[in-house]
Amino acid sequence: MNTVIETANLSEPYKAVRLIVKGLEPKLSAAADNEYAALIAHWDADPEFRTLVHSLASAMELSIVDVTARKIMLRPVHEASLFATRMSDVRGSASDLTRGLLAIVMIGIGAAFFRDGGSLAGIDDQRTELSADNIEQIITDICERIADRQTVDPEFCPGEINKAWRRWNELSPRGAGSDRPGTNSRLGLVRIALKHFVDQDMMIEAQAGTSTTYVPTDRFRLQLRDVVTNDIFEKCIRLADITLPANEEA
Amino acid sequence: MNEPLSPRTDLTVQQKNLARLRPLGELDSQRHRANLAVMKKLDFTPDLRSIALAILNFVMEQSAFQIGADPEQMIEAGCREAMRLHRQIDEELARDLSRHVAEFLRNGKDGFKEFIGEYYDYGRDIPSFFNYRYLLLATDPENDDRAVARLGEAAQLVFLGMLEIDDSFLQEAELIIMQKAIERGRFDDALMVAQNARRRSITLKVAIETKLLRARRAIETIRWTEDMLPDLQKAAQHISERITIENLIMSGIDEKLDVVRNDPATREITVTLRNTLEDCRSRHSDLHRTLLSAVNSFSDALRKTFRRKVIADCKNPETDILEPLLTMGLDVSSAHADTIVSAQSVPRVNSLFDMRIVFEQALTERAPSIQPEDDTKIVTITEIPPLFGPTAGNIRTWFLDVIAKNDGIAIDAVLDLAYNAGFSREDMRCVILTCLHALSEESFPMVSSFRAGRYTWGEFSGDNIAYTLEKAA
Repeated sequence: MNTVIETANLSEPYKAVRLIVKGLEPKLSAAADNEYAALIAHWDADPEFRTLVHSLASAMELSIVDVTARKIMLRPVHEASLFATRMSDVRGSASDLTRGLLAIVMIGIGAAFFRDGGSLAGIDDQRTELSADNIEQIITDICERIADRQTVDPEFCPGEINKAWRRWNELSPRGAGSDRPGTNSRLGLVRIALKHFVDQDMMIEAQAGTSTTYVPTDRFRLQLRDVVTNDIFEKCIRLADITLPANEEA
Repeated sequence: MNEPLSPRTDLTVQQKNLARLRPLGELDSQRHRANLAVMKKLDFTPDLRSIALAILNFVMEQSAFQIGADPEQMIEAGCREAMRLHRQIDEELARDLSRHVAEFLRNGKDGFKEFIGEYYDYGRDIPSFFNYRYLLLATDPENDDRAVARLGEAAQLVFLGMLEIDDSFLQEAELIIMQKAIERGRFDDALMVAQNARRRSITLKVAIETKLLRARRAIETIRWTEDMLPDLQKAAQHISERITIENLIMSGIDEKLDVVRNDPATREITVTLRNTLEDCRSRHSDLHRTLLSAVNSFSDALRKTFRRKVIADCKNPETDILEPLLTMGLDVSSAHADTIVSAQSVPRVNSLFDMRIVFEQALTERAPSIQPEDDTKIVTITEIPPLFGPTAGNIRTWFLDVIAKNDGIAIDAVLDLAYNAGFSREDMRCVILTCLHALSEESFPMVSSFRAGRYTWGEFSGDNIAYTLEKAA
């Protein structure tokens, strides 16, 4: 069988689309696919090809996160993209409460692994391994810290009962009555989010010892970096300002 | 005579090294702790220290060939050592012991965080703390899909300590010792020194490769010609000299092999010695090539860096994003749930030709951010359900606060306030039930109410009731 992929005779748009198609299979590696490897080599060598791939991806509402020797990493540009994953894909028929808490957990997992901007920017290569219990504990610690501050300074987080940290503290840590954590418990929500990340090539499960731990991949770090540098946070702030009750502002 | 206190940095270093040994002592003492799960299965005292040593040895050896050791193989190495030491146990139990030790070395009992060491800082004259690791799992930088076990800096120091040779100048001294031992026919001694030299060459290779790796990852902040190049040139020269001496010793050994061909025992030791030295020489040659190509690999890394977009302001995920999100209403994160999940996902491709999915998608509306549940028919409440739990308590407090600030406020205005405050659908239900409970003197003795027409608010409708807080007499 001839394993050498001849790409020289193919048109540039054809090759660009092929590269994007390869990127739509996140777990595919160029190490196991000669055509993929040839396309990445072409990407490395030809700036015009890179521009072409960028514009095609952009037209498809995809963003190129990074290109390594092994893969091209893509992500949907925004939540309305044809390729976007919705929360209902992660947890079907979730209530508002669950949707909100799962979103918090997803950011919480990122914060647990990359506490500061330096580690997120990739300056520190020593990535921590964490178990689901560790992550649940880290988020709970932060909520308790907020609760303590609220006790000392009631104006810190005024009024509303629907604050995310209160909701998190109200959840059972593991759920009751079974060895497996309930899906609406804190640990259950963390596990749902971790499973999503493992499926998405963003986290690897490590089983060296008696417990399962997780280590983030470079894709996770880069996409999280995009999350914290884009305007999600500003959108949240604006929405929070709008919903502040009039009597509290006074 | 009273002399001024001077910083005793040497004592500080020794104190830190002593503190680094604490986990090994703790591990050793665990063999007497019958209440540990793994110990309950044993009717003897296991040698946990030797299993730990086998694991550290394995990871160090593997680190010489790649960036770290395969975690499962690491457990197998500990398992083999446990079976060698304790022939009475089966493989499963030996693997349990190995797992226990590996997890201990990763500080599993404290959430895989770094160990915390306490020492006295003689320079500043105060007790201090520092963090260190023995063993950690990381992703392989060359292959992001797999985890690798690596030695922390404490394990590397302990490892060097076990070699009982100072790392700076004895590298050269041990080559001289080796030459002399071979000349005098003391092959046992030469082999011992050669094995130490081999471990040292592994340590050196790991140290240099780690330094190069860090430089590549912090490419924007490294000043190559000032921070890296002088050290690398020095290392390259040192390794080049060692290769020359190793070649000389190898020639000496080849001559000796002829001399000892009629003495099988000595010949066997000599062959082992030759193989060990050959291994050292091959490692040094590899490292020499790595060093010489480091400049090219740096340029390559620099090129890749500029290929990525520049991040001008990278926020801290914990303090800048997670904490503010937690202090907002849950409706904020719920409203942005799809944005957050899509940003942290790979592109999702639906199988367009699967007609089942096509019809399902055509007929099913995407879940909006605030989705009404399916029980939309109007239910007349004839008996008010009881309210209990933390949410009910919080709503009650909020409700009383609202009445105190808005005397005579009616149900529809209460609901407006709750909605504008971002209450969830469940909370809104709780609010309406609280409003109904407030009609009861038993539940809310401090609240009086009067009818104020009808109201319709979203899915709720009924008699509009206004509330006032009765003043204490």
